[in-house]
Amino acid sequence: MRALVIDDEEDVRRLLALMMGRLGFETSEAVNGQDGLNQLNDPLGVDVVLLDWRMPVLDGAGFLKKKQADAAVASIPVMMLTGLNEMNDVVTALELGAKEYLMKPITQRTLREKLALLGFA
Amino acid sequence: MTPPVWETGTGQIDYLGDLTRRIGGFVLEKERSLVSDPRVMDLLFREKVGTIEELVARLRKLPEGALHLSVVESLAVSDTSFFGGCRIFDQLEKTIIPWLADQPSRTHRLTLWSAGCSTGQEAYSLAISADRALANCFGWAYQVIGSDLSSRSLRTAESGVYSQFDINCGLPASRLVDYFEKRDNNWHVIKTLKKNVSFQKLNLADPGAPYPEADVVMVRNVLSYFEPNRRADVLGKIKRAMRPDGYLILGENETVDPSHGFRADSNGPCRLYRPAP
Repeated sequence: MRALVIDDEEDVRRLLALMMGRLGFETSEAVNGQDGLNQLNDPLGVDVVLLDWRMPVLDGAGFLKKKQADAAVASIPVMMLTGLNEMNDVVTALELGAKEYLMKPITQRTLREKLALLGFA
Repeated sequence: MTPPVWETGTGQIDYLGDLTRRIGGFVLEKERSLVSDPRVMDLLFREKVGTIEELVARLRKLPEGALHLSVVESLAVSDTSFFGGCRIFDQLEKTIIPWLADQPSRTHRLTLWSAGCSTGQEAYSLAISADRALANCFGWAYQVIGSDLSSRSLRTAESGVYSQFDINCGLPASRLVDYFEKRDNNWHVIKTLKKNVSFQKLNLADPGAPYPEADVVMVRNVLSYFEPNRRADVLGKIKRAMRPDGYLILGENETVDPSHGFRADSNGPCRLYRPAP
C-alpha cells in the first residue's frame, strides 16, 4: 500500500513516513498542497493521503477542493492532520471531502486506529 | 529487556495478586508492567511512597479498608477508547438496535449497559450508536448505564470531558462533529447525548451488587481477568439481569460456553451472545 504525506514540516513528514512504514505502507512526501496534487497521479498509485491543514503555497482546503474536482483521484481517501485542534477546521475538511482527521501530536496507536476507520486494518 | 515491576519481590506481588482476586475478583497478570502504568504511578504519588514495595508494606500494616480498595481500583485493567472494535458498534447501530426496536414486546425504551466502562468512552460510544440507530424511530428513548469499580475513572466518565489524545483514539470524524464540542482545549460530550448516559460504581465480583436490567450488555475484556468460578457467577447474574431477547457483547478473545446460559450469535471480532432459553 502506498501513502502520500503532505506537510510543510520535514520532521513531521519523516515521522509519519516512519510510522506508516511500520504499518506496511510505502510513503512518498510532498511539501505543500500543490506538490501533493502533482504527486497524486503517480503511476504507482496512492491509496491514502495524510494532509496537513495549514501550509504555504496551497493549504489543505485548497488541496481538497482541487483533488475532489479531479475525477481520476477524487476517491482516494484523505486524512486531515491538524495541530490546531479546531472543530471548524475538522468540519470544513469533512465538507470538502476529507474522510478522517488526526490531531497532532500523532502516535503510532492513533494513526493505526484512524487508518482502521478508513478500512486499512 | 528488564522485567518491569516484577523487580519487586514475589512476596509483594503475591500480596497484590491476592488483593485483586479477593476484592476485585480479577487476576493480576504477571506479565503486566506496573511501573509504566500511569494509574499505578499516580497512586504511588498520591500515597507519597516511592516504590511498590513501600506501598505493599503500608498496606500490610493497615486494616483492610479504603487504601486497599484504592489500590485494587488502580490495578484494574483500563485500556479504553471511543468505538474500540468499531465493527461491533456499526453492527449495533445498523442491525442490533433496529432489531430490538422492532420487537413488539418492547415499550419504546432501550437500556444498554457498559460493564467495566473505565473512563466512559465505551458508554458514550454505545450512546452515539443508539442515538443514530433510533434517530428515525419516533417515540423511542434509550439510556446507557456505565459501571466500573474505580471511582476515579467514573469521575472522568461523568464529566464527559476528554483530551485531544482521547479524541484521537478511534472516534470517527463524523461522530466527533456531531456529538462533541470543544471548550478550554478539551472536548465535551454534548448535553443532548450526555443526558442519556449515567454512571454508577459497581464491583461485578461483589455477590451482593445489584446489576442493572438491560437489553444490551457490553462487558469486554473484563471477564477474562476473572477466575473461572467468579466468571460463571458474574455471567449468571448478567443473564438474570438481561432481557431474554437481549444481547451480550464480549471482547475479541473472550468466549462463554453453553453452561453459562448463553448461545453464540456471531463469531466476529467481538463475540456476540444471546441468553439461552
